[in-house]
Amino acid sequence: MRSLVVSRKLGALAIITTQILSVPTLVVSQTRGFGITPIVKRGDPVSDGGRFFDCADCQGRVIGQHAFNNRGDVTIAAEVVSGLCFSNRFLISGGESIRLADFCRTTEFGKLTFLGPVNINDNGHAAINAGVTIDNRIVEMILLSGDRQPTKVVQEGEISPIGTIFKGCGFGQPAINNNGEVAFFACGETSEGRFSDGVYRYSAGDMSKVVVSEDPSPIGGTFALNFVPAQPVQMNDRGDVLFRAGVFIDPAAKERFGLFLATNEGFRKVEIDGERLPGGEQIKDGSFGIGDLNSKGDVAFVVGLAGQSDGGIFLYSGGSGGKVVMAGDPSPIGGTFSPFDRGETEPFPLPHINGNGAVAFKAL
Amino acid sequence: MTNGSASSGVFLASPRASIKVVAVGDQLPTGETIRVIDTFALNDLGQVAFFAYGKKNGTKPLGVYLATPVPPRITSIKLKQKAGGFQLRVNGTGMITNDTVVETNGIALGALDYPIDYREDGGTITRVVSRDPRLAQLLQPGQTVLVTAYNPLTNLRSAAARFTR
Repeated sequence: MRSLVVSRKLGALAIITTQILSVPTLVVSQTRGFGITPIVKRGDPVSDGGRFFDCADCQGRVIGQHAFNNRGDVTIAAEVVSGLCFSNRFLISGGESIRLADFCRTTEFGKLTFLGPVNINDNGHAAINAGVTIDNRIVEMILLSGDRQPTKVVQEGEISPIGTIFKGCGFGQPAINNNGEVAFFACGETSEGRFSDGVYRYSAGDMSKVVVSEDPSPIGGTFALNFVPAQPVQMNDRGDVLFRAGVFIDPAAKERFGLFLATNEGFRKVEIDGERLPGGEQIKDGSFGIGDLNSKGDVAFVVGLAGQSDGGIFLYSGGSGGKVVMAGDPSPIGGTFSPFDRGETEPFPLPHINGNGAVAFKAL
Repeated sequence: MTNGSASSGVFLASPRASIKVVAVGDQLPTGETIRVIDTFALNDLGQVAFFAYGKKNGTKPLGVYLATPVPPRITSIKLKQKAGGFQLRVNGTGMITNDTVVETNGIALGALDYPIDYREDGGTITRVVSRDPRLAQLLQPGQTVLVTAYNPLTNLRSAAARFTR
């Protein structure tokens, strides 16, 4: 049986067109610690016609956990009323916008009817969640957009490296590292119809398993990765993969939930519900943390805490951990931080960690 | 935020310190005011790309903006002799409460204090004080040293300021 976790998704790729945005704006507004400059403003022109976000209800997003790289490139979802297509994915790079995907053009994979997150590496290569409609059903795929025309990494209905069929809940938000490798969570089924979800890595045209349900867990028992929807994963340049998993330590015991790292040396536990953290805080039973991974293997994660109505963000570094911020801690703009734990039906606000070990988060 | 000056913001933090990146109510270079911060992403330079809306109900898209950390800058340095020993007072901008490290000739000073009276809204501070017992040795009379302020959170260092005791 699959567990329902959080909701996600929008719903279409590729032909790359390049365009020059409006004359770069040098105006800077500044808070005391940060200077603010525009990347794409409402009304900036789109190369093939129209202007970005040109209606009051138009939506835009920074469209992935790693949608922003060290060159300053960013991938965005952008609605454009006056242009060629209403819903689009763009890579904004060096003052230019590059159309990655949309719902309007027919690609070699068909006309896209689903578009999800787009993550990029420092080369500006993008891993894109997408899908086409076949027989009135969206068939999901992951596309890789680089220097050439987009290529397909994987598509529902294909056979996985362990012989199962990719089907059931599509693919989670993919991660792409600077080696061009892509990691992703996928739902799968055996030929007998049993769920067999897991995490896979695509590298230089080859796909391999990272972890699947029933693989042995580093805390004993076996992993359970049968989640709906498919989960996001993170991967760094070393090839470490951060993933969320359930664990059945004992068939008679309750399922535990945690974050794990797949490394060259095997699996490592980052956190598991119910355990006490090094600072004394105890993770709430059943709390399913979510986190981010940096190039050094550090993980920032957020979890709910036992005995408290809220949670906090913690840092796992070199096998140990520490608190970054908890609900109730003083905020630098006055008052206190909250909330991090929004209850069972609301996902945690996802923390971001960079190579410097700094953690960015949104507090409401 | 509870009892804070804004209802939503993006922050950059470490186990030692936190600083506001951008918050609802901040003004953009266009003069528009941010009412909703939607999605964001972080890079290794400590920059944050975020999408903002101009109305509380998530309409009036303003676009994608880049928040870039400001490096610390030293404006003045004073050495005071107190009963307990020397105090090096470094005044400046872009320094971060509980984060900024003062360095003399590249040596990080200890016993740092971030006086409450100099803390600014958003997590910055205009004075950092070191009471490092090595100050008497590190700052010899008549000898000029280079003083820098380093923010580990953003990995940014000020230009060196010359100081002679």
